[in-house]
Amino acid sequence: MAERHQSFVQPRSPVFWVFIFLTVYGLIRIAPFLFRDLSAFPLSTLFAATLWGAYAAALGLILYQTELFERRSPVTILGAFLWGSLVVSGIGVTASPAMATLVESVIPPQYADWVSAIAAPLTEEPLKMLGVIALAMIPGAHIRTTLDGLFYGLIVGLGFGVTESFLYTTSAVASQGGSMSVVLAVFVLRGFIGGLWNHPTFSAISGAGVGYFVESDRTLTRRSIVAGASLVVAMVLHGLFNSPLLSGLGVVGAIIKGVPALVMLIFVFRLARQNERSRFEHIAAEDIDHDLITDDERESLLYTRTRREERRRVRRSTGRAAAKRLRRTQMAQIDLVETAIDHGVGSDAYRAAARVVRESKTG
Amino acid sequence: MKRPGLATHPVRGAVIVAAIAVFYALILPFVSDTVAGGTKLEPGVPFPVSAGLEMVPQPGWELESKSEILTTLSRDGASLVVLPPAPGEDLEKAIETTVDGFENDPRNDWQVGRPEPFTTSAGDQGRTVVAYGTTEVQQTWLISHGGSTASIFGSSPDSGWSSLSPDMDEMVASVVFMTED
Repeated sequence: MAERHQSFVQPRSPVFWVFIFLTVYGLIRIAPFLFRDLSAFPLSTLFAATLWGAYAAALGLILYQTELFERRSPVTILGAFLWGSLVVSGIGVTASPAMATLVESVIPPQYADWVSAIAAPLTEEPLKMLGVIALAMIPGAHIRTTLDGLFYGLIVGLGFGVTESFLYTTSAVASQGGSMSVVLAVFVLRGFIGGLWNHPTFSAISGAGVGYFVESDRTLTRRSIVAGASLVVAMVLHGLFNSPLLSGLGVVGAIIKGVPALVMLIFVFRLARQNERSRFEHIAAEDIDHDLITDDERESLLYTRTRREERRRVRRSTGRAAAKRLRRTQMAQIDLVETAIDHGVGSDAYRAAARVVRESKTG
Repeated sequence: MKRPGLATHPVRGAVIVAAIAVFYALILPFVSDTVAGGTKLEPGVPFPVSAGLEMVPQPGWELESKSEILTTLSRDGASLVVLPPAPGEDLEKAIETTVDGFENDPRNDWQVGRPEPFTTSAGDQGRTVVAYGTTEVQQTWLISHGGSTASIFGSSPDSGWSSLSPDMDEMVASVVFMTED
């Protein structure tokens, strides 16, 4: 694939500095909880940090595999993770309880069970979506498509979910005198029973809305409605998960309540991927010279699987060096199409990318 | 074709992001404090929480309701329900009954922690147990004093648990049994 994009670290962008300021603010808000738990129960807290860190790394790696054509910057991915883990969690420390108080003051007492189902989505989902919006405003972050928005939504949600669960775990440890078994029990409860399709899923849907807003050439009204609707869907799914519905079924109930979000995510993901493929195919077929990308090459470039199969075939027939050269060519061709989309055919960047393709083809 | 991105006016974008963050970080908590429905309690000043019991409230906690049977304090979606002391001093048996209650609760599938001992500031012995749900945490404290036991029940949405749990522990640790002279 193509060279990785530059990161969201753009000192000339005012949004970047707001991003940094809010991240530091979030860290300051979270730090007292971390120090409290670390000083009182260092072993259990470190154990919890290790478990949740490994969980985030493993899920992050799986999400990274969703790359189709884009070569996302690891620094930008880290930035998205930090927005979720520090900005959303840090602001959420006061905003979530405050929203709960507001909701409590307006709903009848017999619906007190629903406070969390209403208050948490109203606070957490907009804040998570704001992270994707902020990144989309920084040119270097390179959020240009629905799939980009969905991907960064997943990462922001993962950051928030992991930090919230880590703090929840250490609070449980503190109330249990430092018990290690509590760490494991809460890790299973929040990481697997209610975690896999929880926060990352909700914010992936709203993130896809941001991506659509950026990508689509429809009217501003239509793009705004879609982005707004994606946030509403994320909030409703979050509310459903937090609701007392099916709570009598225990773990099974929690899993069932997560299913609609998972189904919705898969639907949006497939749609976004198909859209990205169609756009890529269209540009490669219509705008790119056929000596740079032939029809057969274009077909092969469309799927990660077909690209890999083509390299295997070449390795078997011509050898490892040829397969490596093909890989470089494939990366250069993808970069060429992405450059055509970002900068237009005929731009200096496009001409440079075309030169790289020609050089890679001639070896 | 050229994708425009969202960076049409960077300064305006920065102001919008900052304004939304300020709304959630500062304005929302301010509005929440203004409209909170309970009676403000003076932090640090002992409060007669039920017949025969005093408790020192932490900042931000309010008196939601008070009757002869129970008193409810609340803050930010969390609540602390205090029952007056009742005869009984077998803490181990009482806390096991609480654990059984959580484990057999048909409405929720709790992950129940191990009962833990604690001592109040006044030197009274207690036991506590925490039950974790997917979106809610509940905790029960039992405090024994001179042949009677006080029961306190806490509950919090999971999002507020980390910040409110230390408050609840502090308030429970501040409980003092008032002797009748």
